[in-house]
Amino acid sequence: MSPYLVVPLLALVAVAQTTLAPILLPGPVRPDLMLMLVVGWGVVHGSGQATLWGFGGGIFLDLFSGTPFGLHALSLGAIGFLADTLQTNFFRSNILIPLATILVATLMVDIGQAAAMQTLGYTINWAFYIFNVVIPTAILNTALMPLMYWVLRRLDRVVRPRLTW
Amino acid sequence: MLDLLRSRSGFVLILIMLVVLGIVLRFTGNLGIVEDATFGIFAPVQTLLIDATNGVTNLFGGFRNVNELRAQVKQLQEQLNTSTLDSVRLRELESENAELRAQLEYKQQNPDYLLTGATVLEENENRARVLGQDPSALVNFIIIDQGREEEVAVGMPVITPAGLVGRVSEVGAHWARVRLISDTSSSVNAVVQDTRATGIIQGQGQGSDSLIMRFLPLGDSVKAGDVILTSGISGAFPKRLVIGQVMQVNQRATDMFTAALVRPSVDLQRLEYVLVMKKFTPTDITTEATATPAPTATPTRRAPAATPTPTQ
Repeated sequence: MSPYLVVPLLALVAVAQTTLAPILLPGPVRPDLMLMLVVGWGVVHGSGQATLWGFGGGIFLDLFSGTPFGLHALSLGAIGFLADTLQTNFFRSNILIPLATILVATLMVDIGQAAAMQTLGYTINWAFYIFNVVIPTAILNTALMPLMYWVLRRLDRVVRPRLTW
Repeated sequence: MLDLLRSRSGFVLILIMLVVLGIVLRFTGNLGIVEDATFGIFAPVQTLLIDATNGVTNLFGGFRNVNELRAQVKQLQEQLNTSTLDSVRLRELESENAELRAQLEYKQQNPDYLLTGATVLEENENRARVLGQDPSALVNFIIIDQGREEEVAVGMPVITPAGLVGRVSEVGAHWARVRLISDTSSSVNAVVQDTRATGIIQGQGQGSDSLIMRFLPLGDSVKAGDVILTSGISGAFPKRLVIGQVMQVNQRATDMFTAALVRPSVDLQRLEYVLVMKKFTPTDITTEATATPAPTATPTRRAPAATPTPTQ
């Protein structure tokens, strides 16, 4: 998919995640749209693009975030790489793959980011964070993933014949 | 070189270099140009999206009477906020009156001391619109649409009519990042309105709605329902801003201090507009510590001479 389309798409998702999600779902439990996009695209399309999307989308989130720069880019890039790897080893038509992947990916990203923040000196109330934020977010992401998966499969059908990189 | 740019691994390498560059730029405080450009482009998009979302939400929320009820609830909420603030102000005025009486008496008893007056703070008349919240649940920041060009500076307190919201932590040309009082790295010196016991309000972060007030003296210094205000100690915030109300007091026999859970007076999850206190200049404690100590004669509440004495 052309970078001229990917960059605005990633920017738009970052804006939606920071602007729309808090209005529609006030509170700490919100869908992680960028993570769903990266994981979904990795499973649907593969070809190493999810790694790029993860890094690119993460950079946009880092610009909008007060967290140390690179936290989102590195974690989403790593998850994108895992999603790309999964696509090459499993059948992408199986709906259970993206569901299981987003569940595990949310847990990995949220816990990994919290561990990184703690290493950098932030206080993390682990029990509260895991039970009130991480697990509900993982469930919410999993519940919304079929919709994202459907959208991404349609997008994949549109862009696949015109692949450039 | 071009081949490297065209290959996927080359592109990943460039992105990783961008991330490293971003880390270095933020660490050295030079990421502002990139952030200015980003927010310059996306602030109008964010505003448009917020307006559209609010419009759609209202449309689906739909029936006319429901909207009327919403308006009534909003109006009643505003009245309640005003009444609460009036009540807080009245009690503060009573307290201030008693203190001033004590100070006057102190001044009369000590005519040789030079005493200075109080400071008046003014709020920014232009409301700042909240553009977005932090994408991470680990930290509690918001981004507002006022920045350096609107004379917003780092350290300025941010409030709503209902109470304290946080402090400006980063400023761009037309945007600023505000650290909410619910963030784990936020600390606010606070006072219990009734007992005047002081402590520190800290955020619990990670999506928790409540704050925690630590380092309160043991005993009956605080009880559920007490109103918590900023104390003005340390100079980071002005005095007497409402922070919240005590929900629960945690005190064990082995503890050296009392802690209390505090519900913020502002719904920090649903902020739309905030006010930045532009004319308040935070005090730099490090400068104060090295400055030549002035012969301070201004009594504090803990000074024996400032203890209100019955004069009637």
